[in-house]
Amino acid sequence: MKDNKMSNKAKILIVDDDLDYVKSIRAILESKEYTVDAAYNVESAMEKIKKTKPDLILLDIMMDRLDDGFTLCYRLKHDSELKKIPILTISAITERTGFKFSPATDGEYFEADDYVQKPVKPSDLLERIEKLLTGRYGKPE
Amino acid sequence: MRDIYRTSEEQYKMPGNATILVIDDEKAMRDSCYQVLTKDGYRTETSEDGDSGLQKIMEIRPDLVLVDLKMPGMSGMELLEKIGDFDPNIVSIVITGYATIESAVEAMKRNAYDFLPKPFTPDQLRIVTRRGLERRRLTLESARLQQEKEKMKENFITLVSHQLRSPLASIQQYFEVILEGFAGEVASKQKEMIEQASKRIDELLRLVNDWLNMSRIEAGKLTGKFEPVDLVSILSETIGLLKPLADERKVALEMDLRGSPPIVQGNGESLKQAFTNLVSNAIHYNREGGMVNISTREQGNHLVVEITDTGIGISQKNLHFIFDEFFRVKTKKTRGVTGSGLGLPIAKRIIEAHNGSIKAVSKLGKGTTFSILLPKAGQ
Repeated sequence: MKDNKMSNKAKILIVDDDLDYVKSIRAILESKEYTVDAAYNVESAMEKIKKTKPDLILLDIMMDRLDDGFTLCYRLKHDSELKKIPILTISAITERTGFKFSPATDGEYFEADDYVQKPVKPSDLLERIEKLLTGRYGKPE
Repeated sequence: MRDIYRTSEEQYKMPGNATILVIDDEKAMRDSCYQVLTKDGYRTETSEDGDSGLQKIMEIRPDLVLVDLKMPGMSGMELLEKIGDFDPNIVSIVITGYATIESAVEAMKRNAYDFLPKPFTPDQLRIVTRRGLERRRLTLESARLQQEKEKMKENFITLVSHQLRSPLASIQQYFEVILEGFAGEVASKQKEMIEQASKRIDELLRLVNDWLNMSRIEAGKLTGKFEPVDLVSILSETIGLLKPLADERKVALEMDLRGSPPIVQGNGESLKQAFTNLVSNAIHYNREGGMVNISTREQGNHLVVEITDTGIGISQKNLHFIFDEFFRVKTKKTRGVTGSGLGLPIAKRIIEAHNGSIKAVSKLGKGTTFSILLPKAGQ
């Protein structure tokens, strides 16, 4: 329980261009007392990430451009400081209809720490977030 | 005259640096071609026989080759064939002092683009060369456009996929959030309606997925690579996936696998989808206490998978249409079954993308058997 409390204070940044989607995810996260911020495009996301150093990023893939999420993910994971921030990708595109990707099969191109498809069950989302956050705290530096 | 000549000379110059190889055993011929073509700005190389010519082609990958038909060693005809094998987009032009209709036809059959009888003037050489290079440019251009078109089609599918799914996903996400109480208490009547709305959105999401799957297969592509696939494991996974549905409908699933391990060359994910669609239909259109039997057997170079149900059956009239997109049999007995009308067409396309075929026989009130024929791996 102690661990839980600690990670619940975590700062989470939602990067998604769909305002409605951000609103509903925000409702889920705020109910668990996470500190939530949102960015609606890659540039403002990058700015916020550098400034506030969130503990976790929820990342959409297709925003202004087809591959915005991939681009941001790549930039973060190739930044010596920012690559520690866990990234959970949430997207409406599916393996079957869009890109064929998953952290398991395309690790070297797409280094997100986890991936879920939209829409996501709130309990599933919270579980994954908790896992990524505690994994981070538990990781030896 | 001089002015006219100069104009035509300018006209025949190709912009860019096309590379031309002249293969002729006659030194005078090589030299004069070399002079004319170099002067026009082409990068020109020469070879004195077929063997060294072919060697050079592989080294410098020319845009165009002038080939003499009568040479010691490898004949011009043989060389033409080898050039075509190496790169069919290299334009070959035959130059010969023994021009006959027969030899021209023979050369054309071997991928030559044009025929220039000796002796020829510099201008004749220029015209033929320019035409040949133009031909090459058009061929390459059209191949590039074709590629671009396919890429666009694929991107389009991905974009449409996203545009259609995004709003639905957002709506569904709101429902999830409301239903799980993240937006305050929900009265039971409201909850019931939102659950129903959510179910309908799910149906729509599935329809969009199905439709996109179809478009993908239509674009001539199955996602994923082809490799040897064991049908037993595919069918076992399919059955595992559908067991809960079968239990719920009180339908028994049976597997009857005979013969050597049924290995086909294919894409496992797609095949699983095809069989999932078929077996799921066999469960949905069954009767309580009914059965679905899945069997495999060999038939020559093919494997046959049969999926037999003890369901409501399909009338002869409707049987012709079941593989049509969005066709659904509408009777009292099918009213309770929801679906997109794309399950069978998708299955059919996947099977056909594997060089297979599918057919159905059915008896109203007795049941239906789908037979899927797939070529064995290595055939």
